[in-house]
Amino acid sequence: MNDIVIKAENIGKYYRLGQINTGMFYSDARSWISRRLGIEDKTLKIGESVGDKKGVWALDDIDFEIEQGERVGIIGKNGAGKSTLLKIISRVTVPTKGRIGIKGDVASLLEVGTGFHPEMTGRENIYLNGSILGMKRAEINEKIDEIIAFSEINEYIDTPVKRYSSGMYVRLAFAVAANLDSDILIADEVLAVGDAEFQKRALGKMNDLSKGQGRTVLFVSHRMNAVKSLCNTGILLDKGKIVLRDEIDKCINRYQSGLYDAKTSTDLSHYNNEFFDLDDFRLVDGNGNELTQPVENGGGAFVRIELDMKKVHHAFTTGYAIYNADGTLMYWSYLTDDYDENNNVSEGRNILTGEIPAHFLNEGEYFIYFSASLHYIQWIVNPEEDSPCLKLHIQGGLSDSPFWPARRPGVCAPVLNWTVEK
Amino acid sequence: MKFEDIKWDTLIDAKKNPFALDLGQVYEYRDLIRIFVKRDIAATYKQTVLGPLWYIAQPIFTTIMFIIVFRHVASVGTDDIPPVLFYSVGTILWSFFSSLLTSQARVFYANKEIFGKVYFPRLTVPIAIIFGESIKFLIQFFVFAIIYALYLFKGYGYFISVRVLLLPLVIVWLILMASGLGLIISSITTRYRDLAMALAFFLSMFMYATPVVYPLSEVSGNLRTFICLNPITAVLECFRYSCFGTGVMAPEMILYSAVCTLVFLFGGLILFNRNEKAFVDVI
Repeated sequence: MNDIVIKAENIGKYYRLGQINTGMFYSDARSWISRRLGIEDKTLKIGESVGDKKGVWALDDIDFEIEQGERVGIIGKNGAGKSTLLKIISRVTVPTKGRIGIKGDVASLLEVGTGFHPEMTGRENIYLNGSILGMKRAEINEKIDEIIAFSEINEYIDTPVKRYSSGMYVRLAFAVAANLDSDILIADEVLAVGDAEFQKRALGKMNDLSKGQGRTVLFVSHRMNAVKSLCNTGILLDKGKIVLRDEIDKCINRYQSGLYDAKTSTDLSHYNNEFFDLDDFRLVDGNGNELTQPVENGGGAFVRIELDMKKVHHAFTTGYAIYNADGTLMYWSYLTDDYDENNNVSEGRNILTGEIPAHFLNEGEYFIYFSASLHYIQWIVNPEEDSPCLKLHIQGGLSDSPFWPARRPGVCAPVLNWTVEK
Repeated sequence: MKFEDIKWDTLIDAKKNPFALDLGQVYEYRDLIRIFVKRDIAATYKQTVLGPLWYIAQPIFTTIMFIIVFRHVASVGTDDIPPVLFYSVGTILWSFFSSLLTSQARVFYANKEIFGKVYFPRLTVPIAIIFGESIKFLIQFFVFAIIYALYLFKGYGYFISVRVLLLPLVIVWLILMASGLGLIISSITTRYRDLAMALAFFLSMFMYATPVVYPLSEVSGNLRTFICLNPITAVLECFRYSCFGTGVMAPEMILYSAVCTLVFLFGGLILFNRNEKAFVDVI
């Protein structure tokens, strides 16, 4: 067993909601004194008592251990407590209760470029930012060439950073942070900045730091692809509690299906609106029977939508969006994709059936979200926000060829036409 | 393995002693202090025409104004000290005090971004402010020393003596008082912003309740007691005493001011320490 480098016991973080104080010294002093003396607090509204002031446990009795060299992805919905946890470990904020022991130095990349001063040059800012992150002057002297090289802004390094483009700024900042010599690295969505090229390089550097140099990494991101490629274990948080502490794949799957479960428990009538009532949304086979088992990829899966149209609009369209288990959008499909006047909804009951293409998706789980909109005018049901969800499991049947029985590399696995000329 | 059995480098505990200062850690981060000082000084005067000359220009012009207004218009006495020396000491000491106090009072507000994102010993920032402001003061004091030397050559030699050895002590006294008071205010301003706005106004009023433009010997009776209740009065009088051998050196006034300084300093440190942990969630 590897050494334990982080151990958390009963960590809790309480946030008071709403206004923390009245904002006026006089009222607060009065309120404080009356609390101390145990007399009625006149600053509270009638019927209110001190205990009524509501708060929330952003983290609630969390225990975990992290071993040397582990690359932990912390995932969960917004407000699950991910960032709070990182802030506590990186000592930006203190826990309300509990304790954490840490072995080794911690470097946090909670936001790149923290403390950059616009009037100072790139070189001066490397020293400033590096020192803030805990580097000694000697260490920075040693690494400065490497940092400048990584940032790719050689000729501008002695120019004040206020003259930098935002891309240069981010590159310099990341270069400093990525060259920290720390045992434990904490990163929060840092890779979400910069252009695609930079993101790739940054992710590569993170990979190098963690896998290549065996450092312990804690990483928070909403991009499951990034988490999956970087981390080997995960902590799944929900409402301030740990739901699962396991391998990263298991955590991600549980997270995705958790999102799905939350959706299926919602009544479809929740999505009724001025244009239609959504009476049915399900996956069916070629005979119209509901799909409950995994299907082969040779076709035979359809999305069935039943609408009771109350108001017909010329721009109305409906369809579905399909995501894979990593959360990548595969495609959108709409009823109006092939423009045909007769093939549209009319007032009253409409049953729409949309096919899932054969031999196109790869093996795995997919999440299908209902979508409806007035095209280019407004969303009625936005698949990226609040929309009913179906789960499709594709297993086998990737092609008619016996050579491809299982999951293929790549996001999709289309079977395409080839010709051979002799 | 049990928590207690492991030797941790860092222990984060909700039940931490509010009086622990972690000065060892502050020393570890001495390079950061140095760089903060450099940043504050460099950043203030980049893209200005006069640059660091502003450090000197400010007290010179203020001294000239004081001479005109208080010496020639209002005919306020100067304890027989040449007005140039009298007013320049007053103005550089007061500006040291007020800008140190103001900078310390803004510690949390000015650094909220960075405090919210990275951990480093927070005490490095007020310490860097002390160094930065002291450098500014020393430059001004150097100019004052040159003028002082000129007066000595002209035959005012009677006012120099071993008393000048007290000067460093008086300067440390002033630094501790201004910083302590500033940290108290900074901790309160994280919750009550208006205090920061009131501060500038209050300080400019307060200058007149301090013997900056007049010597304490010029006032008497109740007014004198009132001015002696101001803890900075003793600092200014002692400073003038070490430079010129004049001034009121009442022991009870000095003791009172020393006690105030200690109260401000410890109060400021305790509040700062408590606040540095909680303020990220408040501001």
